[in-house]
Amino acid sequence: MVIGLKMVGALTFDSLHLDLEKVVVAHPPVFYSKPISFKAKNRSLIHLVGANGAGKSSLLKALAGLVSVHAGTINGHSPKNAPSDRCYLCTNQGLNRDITVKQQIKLWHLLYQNPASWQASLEPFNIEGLLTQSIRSLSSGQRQRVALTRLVTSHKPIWLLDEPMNNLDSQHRNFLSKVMKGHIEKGGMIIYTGHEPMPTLSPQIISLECEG
Amino acid sequence: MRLHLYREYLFLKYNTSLAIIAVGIFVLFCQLLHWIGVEASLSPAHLKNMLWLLSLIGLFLTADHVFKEDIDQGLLMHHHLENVNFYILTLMRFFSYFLLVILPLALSNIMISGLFNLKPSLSDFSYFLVLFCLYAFVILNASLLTHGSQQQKGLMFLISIPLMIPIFLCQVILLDKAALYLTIDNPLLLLAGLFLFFVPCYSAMVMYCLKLSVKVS
Repeated sequence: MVIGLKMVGALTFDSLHLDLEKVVVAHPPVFYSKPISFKAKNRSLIHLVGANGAGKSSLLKALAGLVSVHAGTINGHSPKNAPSDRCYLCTNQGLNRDITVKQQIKLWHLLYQNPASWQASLEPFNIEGLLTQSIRSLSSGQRQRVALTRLVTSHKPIWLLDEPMNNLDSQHRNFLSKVMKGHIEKGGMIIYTGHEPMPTLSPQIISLECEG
Repeated sequence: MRLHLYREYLFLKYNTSLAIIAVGIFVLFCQLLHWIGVEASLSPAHLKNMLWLLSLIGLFLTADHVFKEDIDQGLLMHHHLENVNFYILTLMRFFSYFLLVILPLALSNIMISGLFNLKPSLSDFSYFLVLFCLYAFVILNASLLTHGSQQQKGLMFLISIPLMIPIFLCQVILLDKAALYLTIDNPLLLLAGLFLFFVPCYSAMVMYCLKLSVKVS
């Protein structure tokens, strides 16, 4: 299992941990999630499940350091500084629509200070053929594949993925599964949301519910 | 730094339309005024002010797009997560905007002044550049405030207005004074001093608004 692991190979994934203790995410006064606790470490693969509006995305944002939690604690998480060991992929993909795919990937390489060549991150999601296209001209699925390339480019040990399978066809869902599996085998940690099971993966399932 | 340079290279490459909009609108309005024959009824000083007002319209029309893609598509969020220096980011983007819009506007101002029988001068050109850089910062801030207000917690953005008012008032007063002394030996030094004082102030405000917009979105 080597797909997409060229960049992460240089990292040390020792003593990764995320401990959530009675964490409540909220959009007061409308929404409060039920307290949730779990522990994650190296090689943890966690699938957050729950109905729409249960707080899955909000929890991922809190883990990424973008919002603070309403109650409870996340160990190692500082609300003032964004944790630098996590790659957060959300439904708002963070793609600049004006530029080409090649330019976007080069930009990420500079952002994440990835020492590897930018071409190395093209392989896992099969985007070699899209390089010269403008992001504005891509289909939703192609955009999602480009956005997923960020995972490989970022060479971060913890991946936080908000509905990563959105718009992907079955072939690219399999590619994503392989990349995720490779990351876990390498000692990384993945927490993801989604309403469908990821092919060939056996994650720990954590269920979220909202209060009331 | 390579990240910032590459970001701005892409911004300049894909946003040349901003220069075309700003200069195009300016030239179009000037042409209309010339057809009306406005130079016959206005003094040269008033004509010059009118040209500057038209330039301001060009600035208004383009400043809103400067950070639009960054905010709408969540690009700034990822920069924030990677602890990218927003102050440098703001200054670099402003410099790109200067090259793309303000400088072409100043040059077209000089060229079009011949149409109205005005004599362009170096001090006017410098004064234009300083003044419009500061105006651009104010418009940029206003654009970010408006943009943020369109998101859910719009009122949060209003807290940056008290920061903006004293600096803006101070700028207006000092620039008025500078204009009075433009006849002395070294007016450009005075303008440069003002410029160096206000650019960091405004950059800090724009950076603050950008960070707010990331938090809000």
